Amino acid sequence: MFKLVDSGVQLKLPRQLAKFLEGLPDLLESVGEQPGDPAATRLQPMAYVDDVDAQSDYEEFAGPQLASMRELDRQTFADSLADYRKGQILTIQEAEAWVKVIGDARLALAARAGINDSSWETDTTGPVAPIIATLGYVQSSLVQALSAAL
Amino acid sequence: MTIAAPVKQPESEVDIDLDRAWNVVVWDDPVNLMDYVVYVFQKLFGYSEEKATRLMLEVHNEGRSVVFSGPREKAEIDCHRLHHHGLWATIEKVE
Repeated sequence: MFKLVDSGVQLKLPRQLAKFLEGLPDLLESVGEQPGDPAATRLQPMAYVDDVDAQSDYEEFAGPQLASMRELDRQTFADSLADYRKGQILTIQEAEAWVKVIGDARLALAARAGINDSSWETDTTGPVAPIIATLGYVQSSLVQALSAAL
Repeated sequence: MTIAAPVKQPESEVDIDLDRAWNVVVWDDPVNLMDYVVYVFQKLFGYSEEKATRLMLEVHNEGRSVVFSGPREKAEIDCHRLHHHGLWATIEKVE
């Protein structure tokens, strides 16, 4: 699915899967739009769990930075997927945005589905687990390619 | 053109205490892939595959692992980078 080549990471995705991935930026942009969205809590976890003041200071500097870095990841992902063709080559920077966007989408879906233990991996009843597993398969292939570049 | 050689500062007990004052802890979660966590540890901290795998297994088996110890400012930057990669990380003072 992903292969490290001299100039970056080569993509060979089924067209249907590429089409499905196009929806991930919208999914992630919706995080936090609804009050109490568990996906927002999962994607912006507390750094200081026992110190309210330290957490407040941390959020002040880290919160906006995290949001803008994620926005850049989503934009990079969307731009490089927009003109997808088999054999397309992503730069390492683009591939790194992909691996984070796909991972964040898995975390957001899992948080909204109330997944808090590993039993979801054998759950065949709900619609969410197979999606998280499929995205995991894609992410794992990309991790293999990126790890070879380290 | 020359490049100035770095001057090594003498270490003191105070320096050592400050440098070891804060831990960055990564917690287990049921969704992130094991190979992804190993990749993130290698990429962010420059750890060998062997060390990154050991830390990942500690997270998986024991629920948490200290992945960095050092000054608070560096701990906050590392925690932020781990959050950016979707890992569940916290900062705690070394007791």
